[in-house]
Amino acid sequence: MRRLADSLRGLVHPLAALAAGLAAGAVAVIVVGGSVGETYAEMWKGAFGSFYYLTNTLARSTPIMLIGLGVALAFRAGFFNLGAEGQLLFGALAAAVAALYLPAPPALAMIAALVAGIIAGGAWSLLAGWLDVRFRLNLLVSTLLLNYIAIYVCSYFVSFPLKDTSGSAAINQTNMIDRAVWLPKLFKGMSVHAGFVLAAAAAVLLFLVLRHTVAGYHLRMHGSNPLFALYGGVRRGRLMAWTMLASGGFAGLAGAVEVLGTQYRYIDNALTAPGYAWSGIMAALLANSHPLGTAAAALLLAALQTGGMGVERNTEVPLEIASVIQAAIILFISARFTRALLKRRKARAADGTAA
Amino acid sequence: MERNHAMKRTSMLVLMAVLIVSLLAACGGGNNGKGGAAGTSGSEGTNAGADADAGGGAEGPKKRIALVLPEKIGVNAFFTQMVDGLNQAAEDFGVEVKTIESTDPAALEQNLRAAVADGYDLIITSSFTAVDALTKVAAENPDRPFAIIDQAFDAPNVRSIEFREHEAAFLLGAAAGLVTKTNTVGAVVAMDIPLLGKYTSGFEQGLRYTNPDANFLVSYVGSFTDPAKAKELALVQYEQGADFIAGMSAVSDNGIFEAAKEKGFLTSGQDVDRTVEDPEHIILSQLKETDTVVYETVKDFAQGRFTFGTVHYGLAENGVGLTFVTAESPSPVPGVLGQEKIEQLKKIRDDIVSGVITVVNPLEQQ
Repeated sequence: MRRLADSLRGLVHPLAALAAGLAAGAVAVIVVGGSVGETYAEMWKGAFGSFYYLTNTLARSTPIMLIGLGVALAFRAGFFNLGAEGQLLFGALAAAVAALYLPAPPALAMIAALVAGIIAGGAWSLLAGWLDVRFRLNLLVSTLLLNYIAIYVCSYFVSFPLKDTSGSAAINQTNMIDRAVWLPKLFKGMSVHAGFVLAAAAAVLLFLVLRHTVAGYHLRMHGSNPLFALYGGVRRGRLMAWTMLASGGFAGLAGAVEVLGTQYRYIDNALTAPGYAWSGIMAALLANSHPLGTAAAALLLAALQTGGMGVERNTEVPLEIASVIQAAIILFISARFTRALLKRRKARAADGTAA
Repeated sequence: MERNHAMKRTSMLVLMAVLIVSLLAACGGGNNGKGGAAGTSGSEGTNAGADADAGGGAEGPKKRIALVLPEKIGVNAFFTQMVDGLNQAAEDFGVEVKTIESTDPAALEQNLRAAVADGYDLIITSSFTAVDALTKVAAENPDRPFAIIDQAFDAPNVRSIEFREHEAAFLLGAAAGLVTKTNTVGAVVAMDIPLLGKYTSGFEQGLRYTNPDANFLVSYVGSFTDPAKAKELALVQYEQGADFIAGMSAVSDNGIFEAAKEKGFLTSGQDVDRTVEDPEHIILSQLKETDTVVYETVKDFAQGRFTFGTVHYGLAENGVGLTFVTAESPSPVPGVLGQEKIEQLKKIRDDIVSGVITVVNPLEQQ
C-alpha cells in the first residue's frame, strides 16, 4: 500500500514537469504565430494518434531504448560510459558487414549479424574499460573521445572499401542487405520491427538481472559505494570489463537492429544525425538508470520526436519549434530528477542510509 | 455549419473560375514566364487552356500534394526554390500543397509513410538521399503516385525527374573558354562519382567547343560540405595558372569563392544564381531550376496529364541554364563576358536545343 502511494506520488512530479514543459513550448508556438491547441493536438496525433503513428513511435524508440539500457547498466555500476555513439556505429557496421558477406542461410545470417553487432559494440566499449584499468585513463574522457574515432573509421569504411558504387553512388553507404536477412516488421507496412521486441525484452531482463542476481548486486553495490564494494571482495577490473562489454553490447545491438530492421544498410551519418545515442543517454538520466524507467523514458523521447514530425507535417509551425518544445519538456523533467537526486543526497548525508 | 460549407463551396467555385480565366490569359499572353515555357511533352500553348478546363474545373475536392524533403530546408536554395515552385503551383492550379521537412533518413521514411497514410494524392520527394525510403514506400503502395526530383528511379508508380545538367555545363564550359586569358581553366568538383561526370564532361565539351587548346584542370574535394579543402584545391589550380575555376562542389563552393576573392580569379556557382554574392568574381552560375520542375510536376498532376517514367529537363525545357544566357540576373553583366560573348553563348544554347550541337551525356555513354 505504501509502495503504491509512493509511486503515485512519484508520478506527480513528472506530470507537473510535463505541464511546465508544455507551457514553455506554448510560448514558443505563440511567438512564431501558431495555434497552441492545434500544435499540441498534432503532436499527440503524430506520436499516438493512430495505430500507424503509435508504431512509428515504437520504431523510433527502439534504438534509444537499447542504448539507454546499456548506459543505465554502466551508470548503475558507477561507470560513466558516454561512448554509446561509437559503440552504436561499430555495432551497426559490423551487423551490416556480417549480413552482407557472411555465407550462411538467411535466418542464421540475421542472428549472426545481431551477434556481430553486440560483439563489435561491446568490444569498442571494453577497450575504454581496459584503458581505464590498465592505464588509469579516465573513462568519461576515453569513451567520449573514442566516439570520434568510431565515427571517422566507420565513415572511412563506407566511403571507400565497403561503398555501394551502383547507382548514383552519391551517398556513402554499404550495399543493401538481402531481403531475406531483414529483421521482420511486426505489422505489414508499419515501421516498427522485431528489434522493438528485443529492446522490450532486454529491459525486463536487465531489470531482473540487476535486482535478483549476484552479479547485479555486485554491480549496484559498486555503483552506490565503490570502496565498500572493493572491501567486500568485488574485483573492480573484472566488474568493469563485464559491465562495459555488456553496456557497449546494448548499444551495438541498437545499431544492429537499426540496420537490419529499418535502413537495411549502413548509411554514413544516418545513425548520428538523429542523435540516438544522446537520446539514449538522456533516457537513462531521466529514469535515474532504472531499466524499466529507461524504457519508458525512451518511449517518451521518441514520442516527442515523432510528435514533432507530426507538428511539422500538419501545421505551419516549423520543425525547429517542435525541437524547442521537446527540449523544454526534457529540461523540466530532468530538473525534477536532479532535484530529487539532490534531496536524496542531502538525506543520505544526514542519516547515512543509502537510498 | 451548413452555411459555412456552402460558403466554402461558393468561394471555391469563384476561385476556380478566377484560376481558369487567369490561366487562359497567361496562355494568350505568350509563354514569357519561366514556368510557362517549360513543358514535359508535346501539348503546349493553346492546348494548355483546354486542359486546365478539364482538369481544374471538374474536380470537387482539391487535390492534395505533399513535397517531402530529405533534409531541413535551411539556406539550401535547391530546396527553397522547390517550395517556391510548389506554392506558386498551388496558387495557379488550385491544389492544396504541403511541404514536409525531414531531419534524417529514418525520419524521411516515416514522413513518406505518414504522407501516404494522410491520403495525399501525389507525394513528391527529392534527391539521391530519398532513394532507399522511396523504394520501400512506393513498393508497399503500388496504387499511389509518387515523383522524385533530380534522381533516376525505376518503379511503375513513380515519375522520376532528371536534369540534363551536361547541357548547362556545356554552356558554362563554353563561357569559360571564352573568358580565359591564361588558357587554363579549372573545376573543383565534390566527388569523383559518375553522377558528377555530367558536370565535368559537359563542361569540358563546351570548353573544347570554344577553345580547343585550353588546358582543363579537375580536382575532387571528396565531400559536398568541405569549403576549407575546396579552397586549397582552388588555390592550387590558381597556382597552376587557371584564371577561371568553376565551383562544382555544392556547399564546398564557398571555399572556392573565398579563394577567388583573395586571389582575384574568376569563378562560377551551381544550382542557383550565386553571382549576386560577389559579381566581380562569381561571374556565372550554372542553374538548376528546381522551382520550374516542381511547378510543372504539379501542373501535370492538376491537369490530369501526370505520367510515370522518366521526365528529362534540359535547356529546351528551361530546367537547367546559365545566368545571363538563359535567365535574367540582378547582377550586372560582368565586364569580362560582355554582351557580345553572351550573344555567342545564346547562339550555342539555341544550337544545343535545336540539335546542331550534341552534348554527350557521360552516363549514357557506357
